[in-house]
Amino acid sequence: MAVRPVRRIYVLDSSPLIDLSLGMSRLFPIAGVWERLAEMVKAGQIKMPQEALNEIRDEDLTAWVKRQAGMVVPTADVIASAMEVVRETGLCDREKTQTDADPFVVALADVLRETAEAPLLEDIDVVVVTQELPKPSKLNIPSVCEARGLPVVTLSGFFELEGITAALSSIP
Amino acid sequence: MDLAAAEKGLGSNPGTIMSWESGKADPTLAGLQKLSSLYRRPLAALLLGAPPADPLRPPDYRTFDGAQQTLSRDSLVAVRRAQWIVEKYKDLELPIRADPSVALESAGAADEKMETVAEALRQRLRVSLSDQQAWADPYEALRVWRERVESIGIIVLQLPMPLAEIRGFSLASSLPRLICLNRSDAIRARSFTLFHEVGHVLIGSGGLCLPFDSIARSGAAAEERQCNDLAGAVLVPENQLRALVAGRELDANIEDASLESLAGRFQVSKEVLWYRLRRLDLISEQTFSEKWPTWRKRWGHTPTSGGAAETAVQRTIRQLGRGLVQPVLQAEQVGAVPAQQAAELLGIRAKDLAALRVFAEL
Repeated sequence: MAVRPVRRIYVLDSSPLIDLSLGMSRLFPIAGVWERLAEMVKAGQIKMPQEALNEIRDEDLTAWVKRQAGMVVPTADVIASAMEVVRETGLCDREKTQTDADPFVVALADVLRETAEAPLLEDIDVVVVTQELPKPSKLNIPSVCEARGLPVVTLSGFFELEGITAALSSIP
Repeated sequence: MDLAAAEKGLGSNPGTIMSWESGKADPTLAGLQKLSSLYRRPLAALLLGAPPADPLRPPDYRTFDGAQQTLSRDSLVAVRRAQWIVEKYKDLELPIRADPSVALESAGAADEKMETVAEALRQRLRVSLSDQQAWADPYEALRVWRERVESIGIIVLQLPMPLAEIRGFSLASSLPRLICLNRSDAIRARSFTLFHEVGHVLIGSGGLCLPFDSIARSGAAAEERQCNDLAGAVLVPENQLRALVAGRELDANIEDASLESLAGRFQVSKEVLWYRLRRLDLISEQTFSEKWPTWRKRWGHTPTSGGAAETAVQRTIRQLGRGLVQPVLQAEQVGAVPAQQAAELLGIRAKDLAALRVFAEL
């Protein structure tokens, strides 16, 4: 039996974009990565919740994200799912005095997994991208994703999955 | 913030929030976003099944009986931010230095009289009297004192709070220990508050404090008096003060200018010097009491210093101190902490981390 191709949709936390915008000095130096990301946004393969955009305070990066039509998903579209995530898992930095996008990232992945329509003869795989790392007994995006059966990768894992072998260029 | 104030801030009709809380009506997203901004809580926190419990506040030493008093929104936000910093610091597994009280005990200061404890602390902080007398002004004094306190593993913040309400607080229930000074306070008063709060940290309880105001208050908690004594003894060592005033006539008629000149030798205020003179029995209680109330009236009106043309990076160093900034930047630099989390903890844009690294001398 033939294996059906998988179409991946990535849900981005703010941290991978911030690391990428800082030059990823420790990883993957190549040009063209922003153009490649823009193409993937156009193809509906990269999404980010509004709350994650709110965590990005760098003007250039915020402007780049806002230029990518369809990338940012409004809070209204995920708030019901975010409430489930918060109540089921407790994933919420309640004492923080600023925005906390973590539950919205997981919520958007949940929503997309339920609603994204796959092209004919393809499977959909929703993957969360965050620079947070799984740590034993720590409640964070990777641990909650793991418990919900959502694949989670770091930026380097994302590059690997997409066959991007290098990536350093300034935000266009 | 009570419901009425929240509804006013929200611009909604009376009863709106109550109807949301009781489930009689569903909140709008715009309403939740406004509430999130008013309460300085993330939107996600408003989605919880029950309101988040306030973390345990340190003991309130601003009252006679230690009962918790209401704090204004600005003070509450400062306390919550400090508590969040401590939790985040642990969560990110940043390096925690030895418990500062252990370090002091090893210097042989445990169970000794306050002057001995203060001397052991000065030695631990590596500040000699000649160092202190060489400082150009009280700004340099506070900067050096703060760095030395940070060097024994205590985070020292400076955040704005209403001055009449709180001059400083400390968190000592877990490592890392943290002290927060009121950025609106006079510069010399901040040095006194710093060591008052070091006292609370060494005792191990932390506290919300109005150190100066407790000096002449009958019924002030014993711990407050101890912490004031430690602050005075560290800033104005006994032997040097006795030598300085030997043969001088000290009474309530002494000019403020003369006192300020003496106080300047230690980069402290005349009030601290006067307090030390009393504690060392170099002036009588009556002499002390004749002068003290005349200054007391002005404490609420001390001018705020600095702030002009300050960059975000400079402000971060001033507010959070190198004791917090350096370990966060070091962890980010080696990839142990994502840039986003480092920037979030330090309250700056991620792209300012590089400039902050230069300022923090990394």
